[in-house]
Amino acid sequence: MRITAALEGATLLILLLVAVPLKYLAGLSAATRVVGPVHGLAFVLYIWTLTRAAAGGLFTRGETIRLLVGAFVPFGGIFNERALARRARRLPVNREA
Amino acid sequence: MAYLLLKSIHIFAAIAWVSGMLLDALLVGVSDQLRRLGPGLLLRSAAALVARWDRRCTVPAMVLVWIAGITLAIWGGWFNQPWFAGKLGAVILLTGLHGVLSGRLRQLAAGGDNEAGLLRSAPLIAACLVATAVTLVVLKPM
Repeated sequence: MRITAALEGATLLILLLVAVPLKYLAGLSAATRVVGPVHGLAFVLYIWTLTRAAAGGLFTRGETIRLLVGAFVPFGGIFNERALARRARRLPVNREA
Repeated sequence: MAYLLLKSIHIFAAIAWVSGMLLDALLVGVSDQLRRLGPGLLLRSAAALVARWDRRCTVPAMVLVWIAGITLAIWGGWFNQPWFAGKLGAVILLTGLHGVLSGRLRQLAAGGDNEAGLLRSAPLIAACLVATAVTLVVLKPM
C-alpha cells in the first residue's frame, strides 16, 4: 500500500507541476494526455488498496478518511506514504524483527 | 489489428476479474451459514484458498482491465461520450466492491468473525453492475 500511495502522490505532482504548466505555458497538450490517465490509474489502484485495507479492519474510520483526503491534496501522497511507513513499523511482526 | 488485440485482452481480463470477484462474493455471502455449520476451520481454509486466487489472478486481471480499458478509451476517443461515463461509473463501483470483498476475505482467512451483513447481496450487485457496463458498451446508446 505504501508503493501505491507513493505512486499516486508522485503522479499527481508530475501532473500538476510538470504536465499542466507544459500544456498551458508551452502548448504541449500531449503532456496531460499521457500523465492524466497514468495518474488516474495510480489513483484507482491506491483507492482500491485503501478500500481493501479498511474493509479488512486494518484502519479505523478516522485513519481511512485521513488517507483518503491525502490522495486529493498535492503532496498528500508523501504524508500518506510516511504515515503508512510509521504504521508498518508499529505492527507486532515488525517490532519483533 | 492492434486495437482489436487490445480489446480481446480487455475482454479476457474482464472475464477473469468478474469470475474471480463472483467467487469472492459468493464465499463472503455464505460465510455466516458456513460458520454456523461448525468450527471455523472450513471457512478459514476456503477463505485462504479464495484469497490466494484473488491475489494471484483476480487482482492482476482487474489491473489489466483498467490499463487496457483506459488505453482503448483514449484510442477510441470515448471520454466525452455519455454512455462511457455510465460505464466508467459502473466499473468504479465494481472496483470498490471488489476492494471491500477482498478485504473481508483476508479478514475471514485470518479467523475474523464479522457478519456478512449487506455483503450477502454482493453477487447480485456485482452481476447488476457487470450487466450495466456490458449493455452500455454494446449498445452505446448516447
